[in-house]
Amino acid sequence: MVQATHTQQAEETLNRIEREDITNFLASCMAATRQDEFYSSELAHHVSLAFLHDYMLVNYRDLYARALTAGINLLNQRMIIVNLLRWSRGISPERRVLEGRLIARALDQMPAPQAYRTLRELVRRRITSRRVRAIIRDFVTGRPNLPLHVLKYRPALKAIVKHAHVRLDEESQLILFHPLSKWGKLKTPLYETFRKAHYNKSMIYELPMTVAEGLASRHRIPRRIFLERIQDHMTAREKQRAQRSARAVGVDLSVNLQRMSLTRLSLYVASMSNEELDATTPQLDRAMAAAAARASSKIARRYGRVALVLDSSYSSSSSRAKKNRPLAIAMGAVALFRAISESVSVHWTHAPGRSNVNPWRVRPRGQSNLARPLLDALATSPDHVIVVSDGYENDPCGGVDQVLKIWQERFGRGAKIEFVQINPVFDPTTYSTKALSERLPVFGVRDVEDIPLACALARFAAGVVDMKYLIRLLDARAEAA
Amino acid sequence: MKARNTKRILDYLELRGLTAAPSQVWGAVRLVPLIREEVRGDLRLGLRPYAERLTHVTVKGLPAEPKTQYTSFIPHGLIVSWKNSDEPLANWQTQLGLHKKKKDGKVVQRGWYEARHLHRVVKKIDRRAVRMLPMHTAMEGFLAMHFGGPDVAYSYYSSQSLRHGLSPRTEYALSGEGIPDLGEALRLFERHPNQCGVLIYVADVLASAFVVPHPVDYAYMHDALVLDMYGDVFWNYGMMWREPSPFEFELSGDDVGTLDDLRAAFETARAELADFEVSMGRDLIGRELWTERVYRMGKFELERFITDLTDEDTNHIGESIVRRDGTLEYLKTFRLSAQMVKKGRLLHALAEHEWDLHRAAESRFMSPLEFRDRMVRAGLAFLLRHGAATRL
Repeated sequence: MVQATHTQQAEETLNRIEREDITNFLASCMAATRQDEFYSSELAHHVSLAFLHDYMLVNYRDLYARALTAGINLLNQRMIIVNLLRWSRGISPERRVLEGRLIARALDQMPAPQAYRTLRELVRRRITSRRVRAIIRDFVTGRPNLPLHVLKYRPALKAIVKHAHVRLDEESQLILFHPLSKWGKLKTPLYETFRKAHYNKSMIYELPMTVAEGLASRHRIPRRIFLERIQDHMTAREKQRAQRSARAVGVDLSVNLQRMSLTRLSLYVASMSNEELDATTPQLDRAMAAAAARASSKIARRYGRVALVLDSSYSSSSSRAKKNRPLAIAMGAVALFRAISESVSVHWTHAPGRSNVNPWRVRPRGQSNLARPLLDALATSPDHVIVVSDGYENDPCGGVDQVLKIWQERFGRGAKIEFVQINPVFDPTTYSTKALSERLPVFGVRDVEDIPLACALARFAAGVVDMKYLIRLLDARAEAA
Repeated sequence: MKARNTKRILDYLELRGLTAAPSQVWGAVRLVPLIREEVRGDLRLGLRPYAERLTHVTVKGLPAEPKTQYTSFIPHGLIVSWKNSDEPLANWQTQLGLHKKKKDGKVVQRGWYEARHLHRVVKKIDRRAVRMLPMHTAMEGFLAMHFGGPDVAYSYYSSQSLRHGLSPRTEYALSGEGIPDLGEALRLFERHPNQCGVLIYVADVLASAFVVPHPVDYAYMHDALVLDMYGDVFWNYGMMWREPSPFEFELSGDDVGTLDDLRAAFETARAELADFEVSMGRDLIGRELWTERVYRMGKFELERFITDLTDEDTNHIGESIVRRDGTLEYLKTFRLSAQMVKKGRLLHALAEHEWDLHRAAESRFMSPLEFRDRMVRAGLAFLLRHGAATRL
């Protein structure tokens, strides 16, 4: 009898540890990007994240592979793929099949540059096996528009094709491995255009922007003329990136705000100066609402009354590598919850000003006084309180924790409020995302669109649902994708 | 006896017009922000950086033939501009027509380095503006304490000290860059709106207090704090106590019936925490001071001060600008090292008793020989002549 209780206790402890490990890992994988953050350096992230991945690979390989479908960010997907392929000794054939399927799907769904980065990492680390070669072969031959990839990602493709001994068609091989002088007339139209563009200035405008850019400098075409004529061949992201530099040379690239994703748009808004903001407020309002509506169509859950507690302290400016990202996530959350909840009340640590001032005019300034906006949020008697913060609080340190403690002691029984903290920043010293309080379930995000998923995963973190449920959830997501 | 040129103007240091907020900690460094409730804007400070490795300041005499010189690495000067009426004033750097007044002293090439020659620690540069050297105003005052040396030619004093006084008097300090974590703590510090000052604690010992009159001035000077000088003991403190234990912020739910009660309880606890963090600096704040007025600027007074040296352990020197109504407008302090304090105490004892070593020793309850030993150990041996013990 005594022994039975002991086993039970041990099992419970094991469950708890498992849950904590997995939640930690998923939360970190949502947020960590191995870039400089406000409070920590890129190097620290590098070391910490590498350890975290190794730990998960050894202890929870099943879940580690399945995490590929859990909506984690691209860096961590890349790391998981490389790690799975790096170490596969003693893995049963069925598991290999499953992992192979997950890897192939992840590579397919990533933006192409990210997929090539993953595969090049395999080349760089000299990871090779029949499995690796098969994955690379399937990936390369599975491209529906291989000629475009051959031109656009030439160095990457060359490296991985060589690494995995993939045999491409005659002309692709020619382009990748032989000099221009050996090409002759080519049958594939895109290749032929590319060949001609080496000799004919006007042909470069029929190529994708990144390919044309190199040839433009070869032909010494002025930037202004180049940008004016290549516009139609630029992707939306390319236009967005080149917008300011284009304006400097006198070209106005029309960016369609209505088509930007919510995260992109929030980052764009966070980067604008006050003058730019004031000039375009109505358009921005509409664009944000449209982006949020598009994002919300993929989200099943609807929320009741939501109170947002948002951190706009100086640390939300993050680093040069990811400027204003935490702030942008908070701004995006405002738009997103307006689309998916009954009502939203917004409580910034430093409000943009009086009500008539532009709502997007928040700037990363001042100390992190999250307890005050939390008190304001509680006063609106909401169903959900969602805190977006990097987990550093200093006015005073531990204020949120104490306010929550007293609130739960005194009023917790009557009112059912769901508290969640969303953290856009990975904390390398604790291998997790930093929580403001033990009483506040925390989860990481990289994109605004992931906030509802993060809220759901925080439920697992808080122990409301168990591991089997999580595996089912992830499998279901994988099926759906 | 040369009387100390000190008057008791500011009995004790008070952070009048400023409220503290909870601290921000990074590594060994704790920064307590000081927030000004009412910013008047009729006194402004501007920063003037000096690139030279060495600065000579003529304290007495003319720059061409200096009688007393103060030499140090000085990273920047402060431009203090004020207005007698209550209207707000633009910062000195942004005022028009002052480009000609930018010249400050003379820069000379000295082999592989450059040195700057300045005239006076506090120098008038305009009708309503002075250039002063922050921290060095106070340090110069400290070094000049009893600088004249023995007034009576007792046989146990060296001829050097009888002729030249304490010259050359030297002390060492540490640049903020040498204090572990200070640079990082300043970089990561989240400035409050209307913040006009900061208390810098290293391993929870007050290293320096800094106050300016205007939040915009503070924003400009915040990062420059890492270039200023600090007591050398803070290198040890910073290395030994890597993380000060955090203060538990705790609320009690006993009297909380409504959400408003909770809010009130939170605000009270927050203010208490901030007050406590200020009170950690009570070896400076609220302590009795010897004050000397250096310069009068309309309704403001620039003073330098030293804590009363009765306590052997912790003593500070500093400089402040105080408005006539007692509002603290500018403050910068330096914690003296134990040796500096010892020197100060011994010199003070001697000066109090007209440099009669016997009487000075008696007043400190020790024998003359003991007193002499202390002088030697404190680094004042050069005052005594060879074989002074036989003459005691």
